[in-house]
Amino acid sequence: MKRNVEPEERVLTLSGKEAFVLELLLAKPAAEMYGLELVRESGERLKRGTIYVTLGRMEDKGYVESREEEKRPDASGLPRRLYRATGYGQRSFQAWQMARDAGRLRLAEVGGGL
Amino acid sequence: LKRLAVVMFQGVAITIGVTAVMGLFGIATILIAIPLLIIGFFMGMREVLKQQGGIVRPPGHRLLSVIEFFCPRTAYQAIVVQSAADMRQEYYEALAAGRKFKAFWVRVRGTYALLKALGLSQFLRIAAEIFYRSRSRT
Repeated sequence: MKRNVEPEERVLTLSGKEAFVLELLLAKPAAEMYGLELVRESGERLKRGTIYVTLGRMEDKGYVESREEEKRPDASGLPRRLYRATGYGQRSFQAWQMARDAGRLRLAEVGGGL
Repeated sequence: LKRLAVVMFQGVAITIGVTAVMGLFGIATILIAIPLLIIGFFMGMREVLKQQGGIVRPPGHRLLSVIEFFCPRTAYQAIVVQSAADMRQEYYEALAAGRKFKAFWVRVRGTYALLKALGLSQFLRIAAEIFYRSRSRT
């Protein structure tokens, strides 16, 4: 599923929802989370029906990586996929935050001048 | 069998009650009673199995089998299976807390989330729109 994107080909295309997912994942850097945990942590801002599509797209872009959960031998049920932010995802989120803050500052300056 | 008979009897009693209220006796009673009896039979069987501790399929079992047939494997593993795992986790959490209505709601919502994840909700939306438009014309 994961599509390899060369570093020089990468363009920062981080949507608001993707940035929010990264924010949640980076809040607990060592932890890995699955979709339902992210939905719960978001206070239902993320939707159950779209979270895995978003995570899949983010994995394609290289912002997150995933692995299948190790199951106990006696455990049954469907295999879960755990997600965590990559270094590239972390840097992208920081860049996105800086751009957002700079935009807000600029807006405040324009607003103050009016 | 006793439980089964009770559920089927309830189905018939409800049918007679409903048709009496609607003023529809005769063939209408039979037409409504037959599907209710069939549903009552399966519900009763399910109750009996639950009481005996029999094996009950988890929510989304049939839907997953259908989706697996025509969905690409990668999308199935990454989206469908994960959505179903979430639904089951919430469903069993609600059941463990003794909240049967919540469990039922999780099941309905989870099924919708599965369909939505696959974009099938668009087909449902279009079908509903066609239905409403055809009704508004008449």
